[in-house]
Amino acid sequence: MVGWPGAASAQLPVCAPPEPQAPYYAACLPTGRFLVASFLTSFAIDQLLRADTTPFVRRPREVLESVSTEDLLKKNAALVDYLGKLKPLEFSRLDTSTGLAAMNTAEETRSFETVIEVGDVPYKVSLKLPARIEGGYWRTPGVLQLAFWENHRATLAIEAPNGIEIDAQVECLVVSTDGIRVLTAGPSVPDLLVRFGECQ
Amino acid sequence: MSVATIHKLGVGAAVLGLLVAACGPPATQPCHRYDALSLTRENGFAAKLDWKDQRMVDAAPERIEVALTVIRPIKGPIELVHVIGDVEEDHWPLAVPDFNNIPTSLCWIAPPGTPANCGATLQSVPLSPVGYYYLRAGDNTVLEAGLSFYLCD
Repeated sequence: MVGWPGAASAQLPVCAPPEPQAPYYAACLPTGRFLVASFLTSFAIDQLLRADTTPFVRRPREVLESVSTEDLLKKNAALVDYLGKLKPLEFSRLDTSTGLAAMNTAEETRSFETVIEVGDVPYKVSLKLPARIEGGYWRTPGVLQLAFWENHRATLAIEAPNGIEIDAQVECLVVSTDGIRVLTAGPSVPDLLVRFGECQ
Repeated sequence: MSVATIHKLGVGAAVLGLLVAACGPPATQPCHRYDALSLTRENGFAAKLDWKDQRMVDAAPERIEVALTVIRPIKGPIELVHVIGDVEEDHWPLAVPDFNNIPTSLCWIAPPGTPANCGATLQSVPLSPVGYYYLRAGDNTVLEAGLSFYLCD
């Protein structure tokens, strides 16, 4: 199902369901549910009321700025500058619950490395982008699933201070009121999960 | 601290939570969300769920989540109906909260003894997600709905 344009027009989820027996890199954030609900509401309004003929956009830098504190932005100025150079991600509606997403990338923005500080902990992060990021999405008021077509996926690498390294293509992204799930391409790298509930 | 600041702190943390996730070794998770169906005007607010899993909704924190986009004001309950074969197995009248005129709402239908934010609970557990689902909107203008299941091992 994942990775072909027909999936998006079938009004079905475009990301593979969770695999209960598979290991995940996981974190928990109890406050996330309400915040993602607000993002999904804004997306629903654009999808249902404003996107009949023209695509709607999400600009990467504006997304980060709208969701971050000034302190966080100040500490990660290189990331803010980089995101500001990216073109907007365009969403073109197919019907109520599906659509296509695309973003062209300028050559000078296709590779980026930085150290991101969360609290006082540094994470080495690198991102590689194709000439065009492209995929299809399926959504409801409670979830946005975004599947990226093969050869049109970002590659994300994270080096955590404890030595754990992740280097994977992002195949699918699930943003829901229960959490954020990042599906990596291939079986070798576990998926990432930020849960919003049952944090004990 | 303002609501906006709380939102920013929380969402910023959500984005960076992905980095923090990389901090520990990977592990299996006790519960997962399974996104299932969208009910829209294109499918007549009705759809069939092919559920090949053996997992069922049984005990908290397991639940059905119904996400709705509805024109305000809400005019009475919106019903979700669950059909297996030709038999109506369950129907849940949802008293959708009219919160600040925000067009989207989330309703949790959970096992008995669990808080019901839209007044509906599962009367009979365990419940297999398999079957056909449709909405009875009553006097409401429903723009869309989404169904998901939160299930644990």
